[in-house]
Amino acid sequence: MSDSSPSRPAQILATLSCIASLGCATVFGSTSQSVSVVTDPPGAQIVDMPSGDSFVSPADLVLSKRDTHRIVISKDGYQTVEFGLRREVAARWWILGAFTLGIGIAIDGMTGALVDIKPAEIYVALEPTE
Amino acid sequence: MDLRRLYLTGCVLVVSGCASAKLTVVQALPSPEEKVTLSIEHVPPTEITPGQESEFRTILTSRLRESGVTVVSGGRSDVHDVNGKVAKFRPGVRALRYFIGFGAGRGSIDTTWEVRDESDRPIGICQIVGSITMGVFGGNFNDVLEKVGDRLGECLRGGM
Repeated sequence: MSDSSPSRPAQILATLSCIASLGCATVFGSTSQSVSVVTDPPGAQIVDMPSGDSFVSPADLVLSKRDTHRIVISKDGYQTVEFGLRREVAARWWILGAFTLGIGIAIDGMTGALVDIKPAEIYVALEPTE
Repeated sequence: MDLRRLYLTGCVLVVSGCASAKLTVVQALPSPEEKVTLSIEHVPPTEITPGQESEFRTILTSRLRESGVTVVSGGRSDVHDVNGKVAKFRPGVRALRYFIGFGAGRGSIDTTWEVRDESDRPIGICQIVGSITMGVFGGNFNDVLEKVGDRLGECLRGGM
């Protein structure tokens, strides 16, 4: 009778693949998200904390979901606006992760893919400085 | 209590406790608004930090834009002004909402919005109150502020 069982390295590889695929959001979702910022008037400087990346409005900011972001919007002649983006657990990945006995949730939590950054679209009307 | 009633009760509790905002029209607008300026002030003894006010304003302008109302920079005389008075602004405590519930850590907001024309004459008034007692991990008070923005958009676009 021949031994048809897979080799040990193949078994290890298969096990690791299964574990990795338990991070549903990490595999099928994304660890970054685009946030649209539009200002009136346009041409304001947008700085993202903590990365320090700078943009000019209107802009689509691609932000890492692992970090908590705060954006500072400024323009000469107008009051500076600071706005904190919040990270909310995406229910769909949480529910799917429940079938992975929590391993998937842990993986997605570490990569940041478990959350959505809100709001995804920001519109700011800058107020003139007095 | 059988399972169906228990499930229905649970759904009612969740729906009623999640972020919500209620609109009351005091004076109907004569026509829908498309562009407005926005000002917010708090009514003592209500306290709002500058950071909270800035975030509230940003949330409102974003939601209004989604409703079809564009907020433009102040100082313009060719658009109507929407002035909001915040009589109550209590974000509550998210941890209490999550770990205890049953109204603990409740967040609430009470606002009155007045639309004034170019001659500073009031042409529309609405009241919006919002609250949150539960949600995912206790819920986020900003969800209530977004609902307030949606209701304000209904005021302004619906022509009340």
